[in-house]
Amino acid sequence: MNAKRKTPLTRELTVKLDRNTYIVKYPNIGQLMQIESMKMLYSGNAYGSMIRTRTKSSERVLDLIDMVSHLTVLMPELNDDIIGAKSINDLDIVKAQPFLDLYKKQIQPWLEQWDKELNAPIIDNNPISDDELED
Amino acid sequence: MRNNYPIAINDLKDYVYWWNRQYPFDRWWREKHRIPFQSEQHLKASPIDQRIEYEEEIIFRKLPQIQKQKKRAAEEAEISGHFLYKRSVMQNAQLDKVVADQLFDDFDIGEYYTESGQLKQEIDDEQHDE
Repeated sequence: MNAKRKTPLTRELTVKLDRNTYIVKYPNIGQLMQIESMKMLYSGNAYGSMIRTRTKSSERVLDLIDMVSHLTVLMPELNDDIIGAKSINDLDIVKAQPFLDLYKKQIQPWLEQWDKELNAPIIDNNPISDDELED
Repeated sequence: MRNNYPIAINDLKDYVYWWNRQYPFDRWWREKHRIPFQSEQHLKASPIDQRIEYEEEIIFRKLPQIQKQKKRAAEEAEISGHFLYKRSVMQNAQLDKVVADQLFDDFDIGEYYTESGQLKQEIDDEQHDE
């Protein structure tokens, strides 16, 4: 897809939280849709407009929404710890900080790499090398 | 695994645009396998596998076309005689390398310099002048 990378991009990511290790799998389509829906749910259908009118305070809220939406779907084992809250307003910011760090430092960069890979231009002028064409 | 979370109708259009912009190969995949949007099979699919399948499709779709172009280019080169130029240049380059290697192997520095490091030709010239 993209130019050859030094380290292969894996479908699973091992993350650390406190002393525990977790394995996060790249979401399937249902999970991706669920994540998007949760963004809408937690933002009161205002996710798009929050991105468009990005302020410092909205940025913080967007980070929290992204974190909760992703971790709820990708790491359901953490739900009791972080998603006891029914809305972002119910979130304990101090309690949420380690999860925010986990998402922003470990999971988000990995997902962004995959997004970049999956969104690489589809049209390739010559995907086959000359060697493959030799009789 | 149906999507039960509420989405405003106004956002649905944006959502569909966003989805197809984000995963343009998803629609191709659904059409290929005749799988409806948000069906169970669709929701269980991995975008990574979809993309890999799409890349394979592109490669095999282009393979006959590229082979045809190569064949045509080779035929044109035969007709135009261009292949002779190409071969002779390559052969000459190969030959030059063989000759250069041989000359280097045969080279004896003692033929040109004395043990004291003086060029023998200079000594001959001096003697001739005297």
